[in-house]
Amino acid sequence: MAGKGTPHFIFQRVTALVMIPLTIWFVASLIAHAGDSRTELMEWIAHWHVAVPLSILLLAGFFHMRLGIEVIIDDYIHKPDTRGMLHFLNTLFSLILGAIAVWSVVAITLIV
Amino acid sequence: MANHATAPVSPHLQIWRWTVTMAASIFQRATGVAQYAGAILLTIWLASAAMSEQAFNTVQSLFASPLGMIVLVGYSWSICFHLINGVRFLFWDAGYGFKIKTANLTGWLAFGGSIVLTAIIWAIVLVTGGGN
Repeated sequence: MAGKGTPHFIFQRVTALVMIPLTIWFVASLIAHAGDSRTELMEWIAHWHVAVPLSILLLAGFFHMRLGIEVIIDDYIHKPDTRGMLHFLNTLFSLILGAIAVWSVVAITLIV
Repeated sequence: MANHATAPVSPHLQIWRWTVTMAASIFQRATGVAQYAGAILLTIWLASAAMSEQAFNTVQSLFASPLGMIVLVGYSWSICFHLINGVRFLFWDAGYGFKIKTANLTGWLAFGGSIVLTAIIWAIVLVTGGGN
């Protein structure tokens, strides 16, 4: 992390700011769609005005998550090898999970 | 990074008297970590909807099970807390809210507000049709 503190700090805050309205919107929407069937849910997600902000929320969220865990690893893991490995796993995990989540939204819009 | 081993470290948690500001900081981390697990749930849910009727119904029934509901309530609370306290930290980043009285009050608000918000969310879900 040495020397990368400023962009890290800024990205953490920018993704946070992006997610504030999107999270409120998504949680409120989920409440409204709590009893949905799969078809109803997919038809809702497939709207561009849902799929696009949801994808942005997911991308910002997975990025924010990776950055946050990165700081925790730096704070608590002092052995350089272990720390490096955990940073790698953290990035890999966030990428894979993020890809599956965003792909799912894209797939749903293509299926409907 | 190379000097990390010799860098000074501050005393760890057990040495300090507990305060609400400290608790809020610790819970910001804890809820952040919890959302690592939450992100897996959200991804499984979205992927199952994309995959098949059967996959989606399986995930939905797992979420609707007693253990699933406990996990979802915890997940929603962790989102509420991380969001509210996160906004509090953004104000700090901008240089506001540092007076001890203000910081204590907003710390309590993050805890109280997130619990109330979670209760409201689930009350609405239960009343309006989370039943199926």
